[in-house]
Amino acid sequence: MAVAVGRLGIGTLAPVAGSRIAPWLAGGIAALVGAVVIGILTGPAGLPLGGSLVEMADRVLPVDLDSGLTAAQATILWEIRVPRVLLGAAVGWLLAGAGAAYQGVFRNPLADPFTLGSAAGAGLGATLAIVYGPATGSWPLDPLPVASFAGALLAVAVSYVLGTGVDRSRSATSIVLAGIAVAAFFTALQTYVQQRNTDTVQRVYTWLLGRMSTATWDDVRLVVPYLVVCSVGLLALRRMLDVLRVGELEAAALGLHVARVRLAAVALATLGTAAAVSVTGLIGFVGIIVPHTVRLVAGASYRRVLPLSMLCGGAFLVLADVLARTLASPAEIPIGVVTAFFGAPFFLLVLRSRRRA
Amino acid sequence: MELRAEGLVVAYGRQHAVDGIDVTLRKGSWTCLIGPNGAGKSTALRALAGLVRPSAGSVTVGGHRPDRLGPRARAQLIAYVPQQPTVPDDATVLDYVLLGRTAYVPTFGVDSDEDRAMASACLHRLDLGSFERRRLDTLSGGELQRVVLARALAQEAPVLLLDEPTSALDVAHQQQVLDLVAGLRRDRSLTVVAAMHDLTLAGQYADRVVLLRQGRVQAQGRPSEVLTRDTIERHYGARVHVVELPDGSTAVVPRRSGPT
Repeated sequence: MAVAVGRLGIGTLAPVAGSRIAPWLAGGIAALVGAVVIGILTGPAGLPLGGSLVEMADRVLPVDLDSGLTAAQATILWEIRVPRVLLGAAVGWLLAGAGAAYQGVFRNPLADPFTLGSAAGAGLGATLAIVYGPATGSWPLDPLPVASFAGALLAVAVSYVLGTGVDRSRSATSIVLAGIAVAAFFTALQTYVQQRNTDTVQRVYTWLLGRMSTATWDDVRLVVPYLVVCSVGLLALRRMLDVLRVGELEAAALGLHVARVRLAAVALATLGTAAAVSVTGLIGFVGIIVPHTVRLVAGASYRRVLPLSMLCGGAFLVLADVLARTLASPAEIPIGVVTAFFGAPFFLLVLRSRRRA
Repeated sequence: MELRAEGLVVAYGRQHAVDGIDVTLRKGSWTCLIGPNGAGKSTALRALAGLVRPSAGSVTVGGHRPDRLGPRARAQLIAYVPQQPTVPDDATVLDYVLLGRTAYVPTFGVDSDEDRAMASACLHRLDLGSFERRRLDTLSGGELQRVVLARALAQEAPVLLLDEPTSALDVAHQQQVLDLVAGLRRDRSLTVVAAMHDLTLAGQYADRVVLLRQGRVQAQGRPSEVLTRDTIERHYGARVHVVELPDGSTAVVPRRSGPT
């Protein structure tokens, strides 16, 4: 069908089909679903595939089904495996999506969800909660996630305000530099508090390395609203992030409100990051490795990078967690160690093969 | 659409990059900004585009002050092509040209079929119809410059500002790009302002030349009035021959010093 176009009379032409994103999305969804199934079925207590699926259907759907699982198996499945796998998927989704957004907004391949100091802020908040907070269970609300969430938001807010106030151009570079300074300051405070209270070093260190072993349905319920808001918001910005790829001046000349888009993307990505670190601690590498791998494989347009990073980030962290809890079973390897140990060589492999191609 | 600068000053700290420019450029005209390196051409162009806020004075485009318009309204009025556009290597030509539709795409939306058809039409207009699926990093310098021009064209803005549009091109591609701009200007009564280093090309294509030096207008008028040996030697510190060509246009040729 021909479409009349142009207020300056450029002419009529048939519309052109857009570049196809559906196959990529289908691949991403398949990867996530596959990882979730592997995550649920893998562990010391061997669970049958069919029985597990029936048991989950029984819990979720308004029908009464007999899965054939023992009571112990059903509890392991529903109270331990499923929340842990879903939390891993959600946190990987959030961190990878946030990393992609940060890289887009700051046009910096080294940007990750922690670029503006959210890790240092969360670390300080968590350390303060562990050192000075009440004993676990004595408060109706666990202060640890609240403090780390607040610390992450505070650090990014301070970085952003200082960075945009530094020069009149309010460039992305000055915000990133302010973030480095704020992160160093918060880290110094965190280290000081930690060194003054050596009896809690083990707990603080465990938190800093990230952990999923304590995942509960409460954690999943806490993260999901942020996941929805952050994902919907960032995906709505996908075209604007594509415009930003030509630089701030040209993007402004093309009609983009650069400062607003930057603020919106940073706010959404930070909210997601803060929610993620508040429940699992600091899990590095997901936010930088996953978006770059997606770029190398599927192209750098944010229409692909954002949704695929979210899907693949979820899949990646679920699989990393499977390795974390099976490689040294019955002990667990910190998830942050696994993401870096396996993520880095994988990324280098992709980088090498794509450069050759 | 008429473009006017009155007492335009752009200062970076104490440095005045543009120091009191008064020009009126009528609808459908082609004006070349010339001047030695550091004369303030690029800054003046950005101020005309509304991308740099004037420290004093004003710019008006069809009665609007571009620095006070929102980015979308401004982009529908003025298309600006920088000297060295940033090119996302792996983008396709069509996707890149679609960026020119940003001012028309709903805030949280994506390009419509109409936007795609418009981008496609712009590519066809610049003889790039077969390039839609090509990646930008596979294009030659001349092809890339035409693609950048297509992106500006997709903005459907009545004012086109070009910063050194031919600086990276060989003579044939310089001619091709400027001929295209001339054609577009004629078809759509575009008001064109281009910062140029090549004085002969400026003399060939512009109907008005503004010579800047140290941020100030030193001379302005028809090319034959501004491109004189005396004016160029005084403001550029160069030795030149100025030759009138058979078609009435002016050529400026550098003259070497000392014996040949």
